[in-house]
Amino acid sequence: MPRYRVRVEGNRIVEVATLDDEEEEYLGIEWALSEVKDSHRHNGCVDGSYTLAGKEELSEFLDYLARLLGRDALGRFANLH
Amino acid sequence: MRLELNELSTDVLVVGGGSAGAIAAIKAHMAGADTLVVTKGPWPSGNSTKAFAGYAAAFGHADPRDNPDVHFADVVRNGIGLCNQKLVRKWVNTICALTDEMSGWGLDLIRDGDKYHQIPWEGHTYPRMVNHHRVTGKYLMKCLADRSEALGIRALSHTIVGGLMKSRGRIAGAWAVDYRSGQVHVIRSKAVILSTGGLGALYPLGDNVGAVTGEGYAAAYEAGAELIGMEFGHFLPTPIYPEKMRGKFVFVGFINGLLNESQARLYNGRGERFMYRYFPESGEKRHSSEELTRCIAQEIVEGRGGAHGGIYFDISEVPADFRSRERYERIYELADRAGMDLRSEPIELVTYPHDLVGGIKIDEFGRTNVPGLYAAGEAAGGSHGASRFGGSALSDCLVFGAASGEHAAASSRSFAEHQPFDKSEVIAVKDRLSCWLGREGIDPSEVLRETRRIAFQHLNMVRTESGLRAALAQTDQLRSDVLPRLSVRADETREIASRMRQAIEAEGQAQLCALMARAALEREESRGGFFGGHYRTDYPDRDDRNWLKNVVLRKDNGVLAIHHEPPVELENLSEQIHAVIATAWKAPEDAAHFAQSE
Repeated sequence: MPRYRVRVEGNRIVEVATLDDEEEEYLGIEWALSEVKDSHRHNGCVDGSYTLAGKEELSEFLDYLARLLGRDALGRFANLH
Repeated sequence: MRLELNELSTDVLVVGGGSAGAIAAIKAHMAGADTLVVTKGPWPSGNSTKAFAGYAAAFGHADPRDNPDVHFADVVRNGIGLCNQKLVRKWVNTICALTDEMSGWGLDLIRDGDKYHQIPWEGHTYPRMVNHHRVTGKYLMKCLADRSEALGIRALSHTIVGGLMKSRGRIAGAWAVDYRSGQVHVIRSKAVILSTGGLGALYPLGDNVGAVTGEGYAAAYEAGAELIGMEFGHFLPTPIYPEKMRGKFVFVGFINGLLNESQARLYNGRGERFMYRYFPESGEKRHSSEELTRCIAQEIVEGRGGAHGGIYFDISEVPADFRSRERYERIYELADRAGMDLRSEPIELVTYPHDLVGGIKIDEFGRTNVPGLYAAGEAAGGSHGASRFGGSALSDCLVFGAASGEHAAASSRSFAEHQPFDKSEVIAVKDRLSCWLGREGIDPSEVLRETRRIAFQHLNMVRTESGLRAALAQTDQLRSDVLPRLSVRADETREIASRMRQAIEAEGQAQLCALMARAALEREESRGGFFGGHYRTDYPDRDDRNWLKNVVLRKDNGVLAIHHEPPVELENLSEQIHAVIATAWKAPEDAAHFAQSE
């Protein structure tokens, strides 16, 4: 199953990378959502890298970011979900 | 595949790549020792990355009344009489300075001005969790990874240690297998620090990362190290059905929150709201996660589980507006993703171990009873007594990881040369590997399926005497009849390497299950705190008169020896400490976030 890393800077997605190492450990969607929610609540800003377990999680995460930050935050990655 | 042993040497060998291992390696390196890390996962990795809430450090930034004495008292109170107080004193006195030191390395903790943002947590008298937005472990491990990289610490990732090697009674190194390439390493070292984490992934369900399967305990035991508190574990409920809701994260906050705040209910397989049998007045409401999980586990072990062996969590009567509440929206989203309508279908829950509370017995420098062998983090035991409460995991890992790294480095300086391995040990390793490679036999994955079943069925949160005896008989049978016939033969080198990992895990897990069962059988009482304990159906009550002591296991002349030890207590504790220990912890009325504690 492919894994993904989504990098967000200043409330905008700047990179979606496929992780090529199938054995790499990852945190997944629950940690990604938890971190985004908490940091956004704390200072209104989302900044960081988030690892996701597959296409379904990637789509769900992008959907969440679009709802939280606006669809423009997805930029050129909007077509991934 | 040809069997070739690659020889390496180092002053300090650190086994494990989580927070305890990472800081042990950093401290050993900073103290001037040549240091090598061997880690089963990537480097760094482990459960520490998943630690979300933060860790306890009594800075007193959120409440100036807090200090290390109160922290000490909270830990001791939660350990239900069995903490090694010498370890606790070292831990609470050291963690603040260590946090400041790591902040200097770039540890990104949330701050309020020039102070740490400290949040409250169940069991702590004052708010003392330093944190980073509920993903503290991620940022802690980033800091330790960056520091390790800056120092140029060597690491062998995706490599599993098969066993420790000795020289005239002293640890002299270890052998290990790179389970991707099949390369076997024999590593000479002047000291070894075991920071292999816990055992969560020994069980088929749970929140632990996959590499944490517990064979470090078995390796220590085989080398003659004492194990303490192996009967104590911290268990939590998690969905077994629907399958798509199974996840590697902590679920209990949803359960406890909805039970307390709404019309959510728990049923057993017979349709009984069983919590009223245990608590006729309060039923499902106002329980610690430990109490709640214990009742669920008891229903399951006594045969009152549902279609998938679990307990039904029914939220069909919960008002619709809960769906949009931030705290609960995620459980509804997960159910949607699983294609489940929570208005008509219940989730089925079982229990799994979040962590093992006991472990390899250490002193305040991380030393075990075996010269040259250290342990730190969840692999080590004694500091938590019977129960490890929230905020303790990372801080304990960091303090004893650092202490063991520093001490091991200093100790290694007293040896100019590496000690030669005992010849018999090298021969034993070669023979073992040759047998695995040279014969047709049993696929180790079959053994792993069996150890998972034994652990889940008989070594879950609530234990029965018959279940523990069954676990012992079944692991004895594995060790006598099955493990001697393991084979790792396969067509591809990568497959052989992977099976070598499984073979090492199979041997370690069979041993570990037997050790846990034996310790649990020995303790003829039940004892539990906020987050962890030991529960038997035949001895349901706490028995301070007979069991205010630790169960210690050790391999002596080839057989398991068990003895009891009184807990290490400090003299001349302050009045404040005695007062906190004597006072039952109570959540502040306005602290809604406590329900989100693990």
